[in-house]
Amino acid sequence: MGGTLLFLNVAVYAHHGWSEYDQTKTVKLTGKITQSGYEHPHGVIKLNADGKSWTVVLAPPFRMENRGLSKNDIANGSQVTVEGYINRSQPDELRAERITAGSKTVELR
Amino acid sequence: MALEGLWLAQVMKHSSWLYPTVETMHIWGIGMLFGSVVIMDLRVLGFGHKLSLSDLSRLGVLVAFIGFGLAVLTGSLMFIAQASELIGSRLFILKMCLIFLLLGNAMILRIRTITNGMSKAQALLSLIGWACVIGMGRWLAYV
Repeated sequence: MGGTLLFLNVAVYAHHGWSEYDQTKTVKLTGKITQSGYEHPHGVIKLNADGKSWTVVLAPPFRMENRGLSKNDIANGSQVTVEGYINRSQPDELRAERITAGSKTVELR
Repeated sequence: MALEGLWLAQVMKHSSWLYPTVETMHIWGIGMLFGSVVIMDLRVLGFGHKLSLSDLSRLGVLVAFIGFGLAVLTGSLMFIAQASELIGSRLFILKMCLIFLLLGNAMILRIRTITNGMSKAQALLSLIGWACVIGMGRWLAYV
């Protein structure tokens, strides 16, 4: 079980690979979730912020659950703030390092 | 992609345990395949020459087949859960091409009845090739 989770942690970022994201600049977005995927291999939401629809890459569902971010916290229509790095080749995609939903802030890495 | 709309793809995405379990089984398959391949290739290359190649490959090919089948099955399940991302990945396409090449190589190696310089070259290609396939699969998560 521990082994499975450990493997999951490193395996899930298919095509949202680390090198693609510009880690020299942290971007903070606040907006409304228009589409929510609490799913494998990693969670992903669509966020309306700054007059644009963003794709925000979150963490594997098990990790989000363990850290207290439930499916309900990122349901459609919720207001959230995400902080992370933008994909160099897809300027409307952000890899979130942390997310604030309601009163709680959850680290995603 | 339409594949991701499949019931099975949705289950892969949304079931808590399925995805990590399938990932684990993918490694079981890789372990069985690569383990057998390494032993058989080393034998063709001249190591452990006291072991009969035909006896060794009778068991080795069987285990490799089961491992390969398991890896293909579990790999397909992971593929449909993120088909659109993977199909656009050059590394993924390259990995699939290399697998086909190595399957052909293995078949030729198996059919040939004598061990000669050519089969040694093929065994070496197989060793390096399958090691690369594993490496490419791993790197898919990062590039």
